[in-house]
Amino acid sequence: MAITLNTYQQTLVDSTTKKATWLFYVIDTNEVVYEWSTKTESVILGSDWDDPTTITWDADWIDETTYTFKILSFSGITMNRPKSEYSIISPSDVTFGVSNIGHALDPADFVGGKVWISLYLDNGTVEGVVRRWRFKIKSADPGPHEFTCNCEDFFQEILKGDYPNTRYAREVFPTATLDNNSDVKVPLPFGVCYVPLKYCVISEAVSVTATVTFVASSAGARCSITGAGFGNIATGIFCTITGAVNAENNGTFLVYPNSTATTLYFIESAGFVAETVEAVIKQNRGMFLLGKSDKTYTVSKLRSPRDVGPFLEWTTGLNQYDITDADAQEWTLLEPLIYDLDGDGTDDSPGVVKATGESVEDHPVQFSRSDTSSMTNPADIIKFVLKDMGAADDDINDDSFTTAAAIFTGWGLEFNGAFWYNQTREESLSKLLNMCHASLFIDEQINIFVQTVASQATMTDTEVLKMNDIDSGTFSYSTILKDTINDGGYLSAVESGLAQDKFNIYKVPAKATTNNLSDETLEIPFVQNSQHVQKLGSLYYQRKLLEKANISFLTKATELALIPDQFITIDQDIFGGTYTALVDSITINEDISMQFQCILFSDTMDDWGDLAFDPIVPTAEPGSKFFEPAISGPASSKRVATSSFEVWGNPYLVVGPNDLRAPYTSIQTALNALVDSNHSGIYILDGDYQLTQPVYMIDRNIDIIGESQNVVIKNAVGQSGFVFHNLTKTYNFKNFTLDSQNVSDASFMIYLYGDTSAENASKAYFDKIVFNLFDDGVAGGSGTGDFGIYSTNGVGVIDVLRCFFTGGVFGVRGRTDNIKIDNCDFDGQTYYTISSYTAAGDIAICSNNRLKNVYYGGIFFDATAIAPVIANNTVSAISTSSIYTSFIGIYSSSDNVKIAQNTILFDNDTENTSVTGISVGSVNISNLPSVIGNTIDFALDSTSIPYGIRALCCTDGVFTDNIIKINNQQSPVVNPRYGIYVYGSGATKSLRNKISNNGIDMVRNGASDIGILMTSLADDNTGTGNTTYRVGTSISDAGANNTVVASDT
Amino acid sequence: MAAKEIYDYISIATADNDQTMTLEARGDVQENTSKNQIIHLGVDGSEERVTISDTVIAYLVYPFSALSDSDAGTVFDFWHDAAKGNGKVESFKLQYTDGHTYVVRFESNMDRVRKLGGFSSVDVVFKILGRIAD
Repeated sequence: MAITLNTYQQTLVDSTTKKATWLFYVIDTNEVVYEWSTKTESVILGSDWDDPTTITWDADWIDETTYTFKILSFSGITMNRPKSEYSIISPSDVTFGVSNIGHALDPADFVGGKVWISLYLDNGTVEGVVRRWRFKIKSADPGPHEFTCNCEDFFQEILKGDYPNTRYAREVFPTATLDNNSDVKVPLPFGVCYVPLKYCVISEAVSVTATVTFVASSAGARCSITGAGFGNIATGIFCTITGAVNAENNGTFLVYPNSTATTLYFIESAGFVAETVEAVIKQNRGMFLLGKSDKTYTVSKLRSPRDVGPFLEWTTGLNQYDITDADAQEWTLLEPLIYDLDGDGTDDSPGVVKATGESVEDHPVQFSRSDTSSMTNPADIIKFVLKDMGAADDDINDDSFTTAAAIFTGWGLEFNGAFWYNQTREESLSKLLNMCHASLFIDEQINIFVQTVASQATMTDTEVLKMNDIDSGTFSYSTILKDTINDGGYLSAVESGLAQDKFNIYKVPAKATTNNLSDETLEIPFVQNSQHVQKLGSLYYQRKLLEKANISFLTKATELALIPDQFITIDQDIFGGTYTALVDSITINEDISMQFQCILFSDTMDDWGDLAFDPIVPTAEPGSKFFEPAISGPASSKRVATSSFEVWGNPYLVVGPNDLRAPYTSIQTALNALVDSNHSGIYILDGDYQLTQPVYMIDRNIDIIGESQNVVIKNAVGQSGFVFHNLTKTYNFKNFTLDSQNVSDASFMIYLYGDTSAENASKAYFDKIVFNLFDDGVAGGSGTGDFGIYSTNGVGVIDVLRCFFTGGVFGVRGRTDNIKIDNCDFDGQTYYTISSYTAAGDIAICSNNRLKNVYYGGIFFDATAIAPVIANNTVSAISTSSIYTSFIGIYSSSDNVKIAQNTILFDNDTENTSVTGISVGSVNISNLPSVIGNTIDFALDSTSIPYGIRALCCTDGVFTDNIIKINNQQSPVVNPRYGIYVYGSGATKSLRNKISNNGIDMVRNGASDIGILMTSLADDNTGTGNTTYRVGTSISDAGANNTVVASDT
Repeated sequence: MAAKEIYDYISIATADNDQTMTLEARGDVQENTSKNQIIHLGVDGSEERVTISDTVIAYLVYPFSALSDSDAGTVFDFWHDAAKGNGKVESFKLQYTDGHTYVVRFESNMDRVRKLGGFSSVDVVFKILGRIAD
C-alpha cells in the first residue's frame, strides 16, 4: 500500500520538471508559530493549513502564505520501516539548522516544540503540498548565529514508556508478605481474556461497627456474635474484633460456616464472654484484582495456577467486591468462593489454590470488561491502544484503520486477550502488529496497513539515478552473510477457553520445511484460532529469516507516494533482472531525490491468503491429574501451615501422646485444625490422653480412629468425654478406650444432644470402643455413675458395634431416630444396661449383645418405636452382687416388638419385688408383640415373684417356642411363681394372643408354681402345644373365651 | 532582440550602506549568472529537472588587471571599511560599466600582493543582490 495522492499531487509527482520547496511550520514551546523555509517563498496552501494540527488534504488552494528563509541546512526526511519482527518501531528523523542572527531566538524554546515539514511542489501549472510529516524537536543545539534542531517523528513520544498504563497491582493493595515484585499490572482486557490476576491481601477490606451480643459457648455450642450488618463478612476467614469490654472477646477469630448477616459463628473454644457492646469487626481479605470499578466485569472462569497441582477450574462462586484503596480509588476485585470449610461438599468460603510457602500464585481468570468486551477486531484494538498511549483523535488516520479492520474481518481474525504485565510500549505494539500481520506508518498521522507482497512500484533504469552522464548508476547490491540459515521457528499460543499465561509451543515453517528451526518463539497470546496462529507465524518468520541481500539506489522524485514496509519490483537487467524487494527505508533528500534501502528474500513471500494450515490439536499432557491438589484457606495453626505431607498429604491429622510422635497432642486442637487443613480424619496413636475439658465435636464429617484400644482417652473429672451438640454431620469413632476419671460426680463419656430434637441430627457410629465407667456400686436410680453413650433430643443415628462397657449406671441410654446396638459386651451397669426411649417412628435394634451382672434392667425399649428388634442377646444376673428393687431382663412396650432367641439368666437370692425374664406391653395397648424362641432360666431363693414372661395389655401377640425354667428354692413358699403371665390393666385387656409350644418347668412343683396364668383381663387367647412340668397349676384361666391348652407332664 | 543585461532579471534592492563604488574597468569583467536547479539523470539518460529557487544568482568578477591603481585602492577601502563593504557582510552600491547601479557585496576575500610599482591581486568577486532602479 502506497499512500494515496490526490489528482493534483499525482500530477506534481509525475512532472519531469518541478520546483521543490521545503516548508517548516514550527511551534515552539511557547506556542509561537514560525513559518520557515530553505528560501523565502510564497506558497499557496489549502485552507486547513491555517491550522496544521487538523490536517486534511484540500484541493481548494486559496491561501497564499510566505515562508521566510531561515533554514540553513536540512538533512532530508528519512522514513524507516517499523521492524515489528524485531520489536522496533523505527523512528523517522530529521535534522535542520536555523539561522539565528544576533541570537534573537532562544534555542531552549524549541526543545519539545513541534514541526510540520511539507514538501511543496510546483510544476508551473499546479502547485501544492505533496507530502507532510510531523516531528517533535528532541534538541536544539545552539551555534554561532544559528542552532540545529534534531527531530524525530511525533509517534516516538507516544512510544516512550511502558504498557499497559494501568498501575502495578502490587501498588494498589500492597501486601507485605506476598509477592510484591512481580510485573503484573491491572489488566487491560479485550474481548474475553483469560489471564492471571494479582492476588492481593486487602487490609481491613471489611469493617463493621455495630452493637453486637457476644454469646459464650455453652455445653459445646459454638461461640457466636449476634447483631446486624455482617453480610460482607466471609466465612473461613479470620476477623479481628475490637471494642469489647471483656478482653476475652477482643482478638482474632476464624469465622465459621453457616454464619449469616445477623449471626457470626466461631469455634467453641473461642472463649467469648457474654456481653452486649458496640464492637468493630474487621476482616482482611484475599482477592484478585480485576480493575477500576468505573467499569463492570463479567467473570466466567477461575483456574488453579499452572505451577500448583493439577488443573482445577471454577465457573461459580466468583464474587466481586468494590473496594477503595489508600488513594481513594475504587477497584473491583474477585473473591472466589471455592473452599469447602465444613467439608459438606459445598464450597462455602473464599479460597485459593496454593503450594506450600508464603506467597499465593496469581490465578488465571477468564473475564471481560464492559468497555472492551466486544472489541475483538485487531485494528480497533490497536487504535484503542494508541489512544490509550496518548495519541489524540487527530493523530490517527481513521480511514486506514477502517480499511485494515475490514480486511481482518474478511480473514475472520479476532483478538481475545489482555495486557496484564509490564512491557515496553514498543514491545506491546510490535506484538499486536505481529498478531495481525500489519504495520504502522507515521507521517503527519499514525496510519495502519496490512502487510502485502503486492508490488507498489516498479524501478527501472528510468527511475534509478546516475550521478553523471557517464556513470553506471546508484544501484548497489550487498549479500547478507549468515552463519545459519533457519527455515522456521516456534510460536506460542493457546486454544480458546484456556488461560493465556502460559502457552503451547508449536513449530512453524517460514515456507514449507522445518529442518533447521530458529530458537525464537513468537508469542501470539491474543489469537486462539490455530490456523490463524500458524499463518501469522509463517508470515513472521518469512520476513525474519529469509533475508538474503540488501539493495540501495537513488531515484527521482517520481516515487513520492511510496512508504517503507512495502514491496516494490526491480525490473532491469543491469540491476539483476526482475524481482521484488521490501522497502526498508526511504530518505527524501533536500533536492527531493529519494534514497531507497531495500531487502531481498531468498524465497517467494506470501500473503495471508496464500497460506493454509490444518488446525492444531494439542496432545493432552499425560498424568496431569495424578497429583493431589492442596486447596486451602488461611491457616489458623502454624503447625498446619508449615507442615507439608504430614498434614496436607496425609488422609488423617495425627494425634500422639507427645509432640515427638505426632503433629498434635490435643484431640481438640486436631479437630479444630481439620477445618484449616481441609481434612476430616484424626488418627490417634497409642497412649494416654488426659482431657482438660470435653472434646467438642465440630459440625463436619469426621472420623476419629485409634491405633488400638491402647489409646486411652481420659475425661476431665466430672466432665463429659466427647460432646455432640446441635450437630448434623456423620461421625465415626473407632478403636480406642474411654476411661472415666470420675470418683464421685458422674458424667457422660459420649454425649449427644440438641437444643431441640431437630438440631441434633448427627449420625454417630461407634466401633470397638472400650468404655470404662465409674459407678458407686449402688444399684438402681439412687446410685451414681457414668453413662457410656447418652443421647437426648435427637433425630439422627446412633450405631454401637463391638463395644465393651464396664461399670456405670447406663451402658447406652438415649433416643434418636435410629439406634442400633449390636455385638457389644456390657458388664455391671447398675441401672439400665441398654435403654432406649425412642419416639414415634424411631427404629431400634438390639442384637447379639452380651449383658452380665445386670442390676436392674437389661434391655429396655419403650413404647413408641416401630417394631424394635431384640434378638440373640444374653442377659445375665448370675453373679450380680445385689439386685435393685426388681429385675427385668428384656422390656418393651412397643407395637410389633420382636423379642427372639434371647437368653435371660438369673441366679440371685436378693429379695426383690419381682424378677421378670421378658416383659412386653404396658397399660397402653401393645399390638402384635412377638416373643419367640427365648430361653429364660431363673434360680432364686427369695420372696421375689418370678415371671418368665409377662404380657400386659397385649393384643394379637405371639408367644411361642419359649423355654422357661423357674426354680425358686424359698421355703416355705410366700409368693406365687409364674411361667407365663397374661394380664390387663383397668379396662384394658390382653386379647387374642397366641400362646403356643412353650415349655415351662417350674421345678418346685408346688401349688404356687403356675405354668400359664390368664387373669380376668385376658380374654380370647388361644394356644396349643404348650407343655408344663412340675407345676401346681398348668393353666390358670380367669378370663373369658381363652382356649390356651397345655400338656402337663 | 534587444540586448539584455543583468539588470533586467534581478529585483530592486536597498544597500545596507549608501556608498557607491565606481570602477573604471580597463579590461574584461566576467558576469556569472546561475539558478539553484538540479537535474536528476536517470540511468537511461532521462531527466527530472528540479528547481530549488527561481532567483537569479549573479556574480561580477573583476580581474585585478582590470583595475587601475586608484580602483584597486577603492576596492581595498570598501572591503575593509565597516561603513561600506565591511568584508563580505555589508552591501553597497556598485556603479557598473553597463550603466546601471547594483546592490552588491564582496563574495571574495581581499587578497593582494605588493610588488614593485604597485599591487597585484587575485580576482575581486561581487555578488549582485539587487539593482537600483534607474
